[in-house]
Amino acid sequence: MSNAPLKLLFAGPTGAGKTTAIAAISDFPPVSTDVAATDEVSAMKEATTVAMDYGEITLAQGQKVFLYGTPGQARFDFMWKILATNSLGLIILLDNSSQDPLADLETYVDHFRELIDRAAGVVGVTRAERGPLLGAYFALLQRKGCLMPVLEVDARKKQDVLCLLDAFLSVLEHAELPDERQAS
Amino acid sequence: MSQSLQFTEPQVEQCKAALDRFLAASPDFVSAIISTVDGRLLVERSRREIGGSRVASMAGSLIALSEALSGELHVKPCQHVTITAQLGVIVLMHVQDSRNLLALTTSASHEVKLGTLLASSRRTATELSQMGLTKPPLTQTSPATFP
Repeated sequence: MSNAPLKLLFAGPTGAGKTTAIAAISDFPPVSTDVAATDEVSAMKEATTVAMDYGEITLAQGQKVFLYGTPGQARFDFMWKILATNSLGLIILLDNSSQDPLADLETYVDHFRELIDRAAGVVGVTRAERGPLLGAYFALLQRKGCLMPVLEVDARKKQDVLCLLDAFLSVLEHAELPDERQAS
Repeated sequence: MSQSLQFTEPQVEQCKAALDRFLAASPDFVSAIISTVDGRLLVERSRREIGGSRVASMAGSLIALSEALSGELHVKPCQHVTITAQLGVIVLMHVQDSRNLLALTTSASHEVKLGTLLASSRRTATELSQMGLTKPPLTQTSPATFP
């Protein structure tokens, strides 16, 4: 992997923990575009991201990773496209206690399929103690022919989010192998 | 937790009237949209077909980004955002009331000077802010009893 900064995208439905996960690992307080929620989200939380979250983390080898978080609501899908540009991969965060987290996974895999196939993807499942077992996510991904690691994560815990990042970097290294073979 | 914000029918009519007054001020004013800060369309008036819901979402993102950028550069709060495009001008601003939950997005053809659009948009935003559109509903209490 080169030492050029990596752009990593956090996507997923509202309330899955994207803003929290970026804040947990960013080297500085993330740039936030949270505003008061005025729709059904307001029953869950007071503020919601409407443009993006932005943070940075410098890994042990000096590798910088730019962390971008997308807004959760589908009405902001234009931001999903903008933020996915030049991204080297995606972490999909899902709230296991939501109404239908498997449908959420399908939505995000379908939307970001090109990015996942081209680069790398990892799934993080928050509130894993409630809702489907992780095996159900694997089964769905397998059915879609889109194999990605699925990890349980507490978005508030730096160590958990770093594990997710490690998994992403491992997948990314494997994704880079074909190009490296071609180059040699 | 806050309650979801919806306009009543009379409020919608009040807003439509305000936006119509805005559009009537110049034949080159093209559209005016009231949306929530989290990108939901509430009221839209336009001389031509526009995707009001998309514009409302984009306005939410753009105003929030502008607020974040103003913070980064230590010049916040952001008062308005202007876009000068080849074929027109766009102004986005908060409707400044006690809760700051609403945004106004206006557009005009390139014939209009940005200052003219800005002044009219400010006037309309002030008018909207005086309508008390985002006042929380009164809490239901037990009926008063009289001896």
